[in-house]
Amino acid sequence: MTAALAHYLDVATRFQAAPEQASAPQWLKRLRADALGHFERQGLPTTRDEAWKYSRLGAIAEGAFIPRTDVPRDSAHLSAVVARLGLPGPRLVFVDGRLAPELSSVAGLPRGLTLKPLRDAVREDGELLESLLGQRALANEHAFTALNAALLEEGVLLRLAPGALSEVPVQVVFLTRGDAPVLSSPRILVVAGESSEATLVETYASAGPAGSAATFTNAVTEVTLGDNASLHHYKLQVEADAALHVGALHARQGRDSRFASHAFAFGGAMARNEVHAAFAGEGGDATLNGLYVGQGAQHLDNRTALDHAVPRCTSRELYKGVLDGHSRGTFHGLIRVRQDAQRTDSRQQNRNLLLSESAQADARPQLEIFADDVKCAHGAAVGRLDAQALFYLRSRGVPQAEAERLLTYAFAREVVEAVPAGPVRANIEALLASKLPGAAQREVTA
Amino acid sequence: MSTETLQELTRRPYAAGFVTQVESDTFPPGLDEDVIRRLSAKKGEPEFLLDWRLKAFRHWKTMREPTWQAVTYAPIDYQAISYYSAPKQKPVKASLDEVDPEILRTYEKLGIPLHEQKLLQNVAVDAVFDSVSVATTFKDKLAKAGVIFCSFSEAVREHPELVKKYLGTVVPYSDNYFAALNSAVFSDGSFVYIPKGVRCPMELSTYFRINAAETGQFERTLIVAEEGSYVSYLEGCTAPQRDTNQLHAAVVELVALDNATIKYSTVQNWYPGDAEGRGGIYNFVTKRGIAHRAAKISWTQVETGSAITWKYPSVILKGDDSVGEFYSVALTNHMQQADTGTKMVHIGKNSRSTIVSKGISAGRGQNTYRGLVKVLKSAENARNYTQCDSLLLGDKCGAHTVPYIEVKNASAQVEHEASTSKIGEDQLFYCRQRGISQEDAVSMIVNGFCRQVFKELPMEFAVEAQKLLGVSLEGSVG
Repeated sequence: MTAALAHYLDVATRFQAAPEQASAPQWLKRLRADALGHFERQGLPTTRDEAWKYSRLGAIAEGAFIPRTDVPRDSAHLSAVVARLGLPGPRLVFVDGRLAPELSSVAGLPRGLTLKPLRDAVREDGELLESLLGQRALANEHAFTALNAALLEEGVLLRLAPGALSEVPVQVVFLTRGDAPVLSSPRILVVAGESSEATLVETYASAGPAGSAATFTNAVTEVTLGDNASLHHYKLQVEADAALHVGALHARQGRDSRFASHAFAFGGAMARNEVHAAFAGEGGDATLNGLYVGQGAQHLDNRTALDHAVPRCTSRELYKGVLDGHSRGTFHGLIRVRQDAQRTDSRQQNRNLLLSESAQADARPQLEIFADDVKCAHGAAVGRLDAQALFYLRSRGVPQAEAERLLTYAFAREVVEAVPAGPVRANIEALLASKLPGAAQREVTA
Repeated sequence: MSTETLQELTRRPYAAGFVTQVESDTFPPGLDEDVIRRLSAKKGEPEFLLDWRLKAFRHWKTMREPTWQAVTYAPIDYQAISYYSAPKQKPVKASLDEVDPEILRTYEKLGIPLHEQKLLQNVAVDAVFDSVSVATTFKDKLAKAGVIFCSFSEAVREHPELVKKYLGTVVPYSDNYFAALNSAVFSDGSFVYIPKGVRCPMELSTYFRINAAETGQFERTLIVAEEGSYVSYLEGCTAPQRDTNQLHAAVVELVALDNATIKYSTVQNWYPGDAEGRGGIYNFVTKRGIAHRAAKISWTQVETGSAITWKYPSVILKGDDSVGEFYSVALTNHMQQADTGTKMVHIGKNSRSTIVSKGISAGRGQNTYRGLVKVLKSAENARNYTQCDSLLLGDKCGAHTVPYIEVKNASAQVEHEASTSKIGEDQLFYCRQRGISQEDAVSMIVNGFCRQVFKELPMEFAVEAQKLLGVSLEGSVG
């Protein structure tokens, strides 16, 4: 056993044995204990594991991270950080993995929507949670999901009553202060009733000054979509340079449901983002989009998996990477079409732009097809900026650096443009602009 | 000491005289260092080769059989295989009447000339088409050009310095489980050497190399093309091979020195087993070439046979301006499984590679394309284009695509495209409407799908490969 594995096992064992957990319901205790077993059995993944072939766990495998126990108090600084993120709509804010009630507000939550901290839901919606937690994200298949479940306490329940429609996006925000090596393990549970529709934005950001300590966020999101339900999901990961992030989203889609995931990975020393969608009813539609922008020594790791288990479902995927400095971006996308899933229509694209000599990109698009009446395609490309396009701009008097920024921004924008116009998109555009500062300038003057 | 080893010891002739005194032409099943020593002695091999075999064997014992591939098969008992068997003398048949009529029907469909049919079935060939004389004529012509084309054993005897220089330089014995096994026990194979600046005057084919027709299940091929030379090598045969061996673990090494070109074409039609998946060959092959400056290596393969095909002909693009190509058609019908693809490792500047892979799945066949395109930091301006298409005929088969793309140089341009589809109803309808039978229509459409690869094959191979697809698809439609 590695020292890191021993550390995390110790952390989880102590958490589960803590006196304040004595009052937790039996089902939750069992779920945590089982997950701990699964975690111990699997151990931390290494590059010898096929699913982690291009991944670098970095400081995660050094195992100094521990969960925070004190409840964060509102401070002028944290309020300012939340305000700067400019998030419209009702929100729940967590600091270092602990709910910050004073920064949260569920005012303006539309009718038919329930948004509550997971702690409250454990008390109030025990039966629902017992039937759903750990059903989409399986602790026996993923070591970090198991670790998250073993430490399961904080998080969010978003519940949509049948037919509920929400115009305003629901925000869940996870901040890290970076004053200690904190391990956060949030769990987000989304249950969308029949014909409901909502937008959920998950934001992961740092509130500490530059040069803060490394933090480790290990998040799991489980989504259950009823028949004809629709969820727009956004994940904005803009943590500090030293941050480590592993996130996995698992969605199960009912008949004629629509799920759109837009994942933006801009921050962190190592950030892995997984999106898994499974069709359980015919006629479902899934859109999985992603944009990862890396600089310095960032390692941005993307994994998607689509499970076409039933006929007549459609899926579209577009993942783009912009890699500068020594950064490394990886994409591994699996499309599985099972034998019964006739008339599947699935398309996947991965494009990578390398901006520096030392940047790296790895792509693993993967098709597993067991049905014959299907249309499936994938494409992957790695390259640098088009010399002709650069020349065109230069010949019209645009300076080299500016032309490069313009083309880079245009490349990245395709993913942003897939986001419906509105406050969420404006927010993403601003974040992208700050990540590609030169391009933003150009945007303003254009 | 186990009973097996004891039995083995008691069966063995007196140790002092084992080199020459062994009477039997076939070793009893089993594998240990002693078997390898005897094998090497029997072939009169020099010391360096025996050492190499033993090193490979010791390494093999530390390795575990891989399990990552998308194929399933019953465990192989490596101790149940006999690792040496002298070429068998087949009974000569008086005429084609003695040959299984089903095989003859297949030959007819493939359009194989009568004299070739006789050759394949070991029927006495008449004077006009005496294969031996044909082969001899070729040999003279090759010798004049300075080309060495012989069996591996002959090369070890006649040109040990060349073998020693290049053996294992592309596929080291430690490369993988089956390559290590092959390195330890390979029985024979082919050796080709093209001198500097020579364009090999004809396409080389194992088919004409009569003396090594029975290369057995552990073949080893080594092709060395000196600076500025060219060779086109054809492997295999379009006619069905009723081989009884279960495991074929071959190794092919290609060395293309500066400005040389090697074109390696394979049409593989080993026995695929019956419709229920009984019998058939496990074709586990390691093929790799190394391309030096401005050299070109081109792999073309048409894989229709074998119960399991598992191979990745690869190119290490070591030199600047080197070129690698991989054109593949893999067809799986009934219970066949294929896990095949390529690796293109770009090291040199301006190196280019092209991959075109066409997979066809029918019946309950499973077809996987697995490939790696790796651009190292040194490979300035490297370029790769990959296209893999899959065609599914039937709802019980599978088609899978598992490409790996690793790019460590920003100036590289790497593109990968893949699609999966079935035969369009409209295309079928169009053919049927014009009086073409369902089966012919499918065969025609499938051939169109594979055209890009077939045009890379030498002419006569291309024609036969097309017919072969039709034959292999029989019974998969309707």
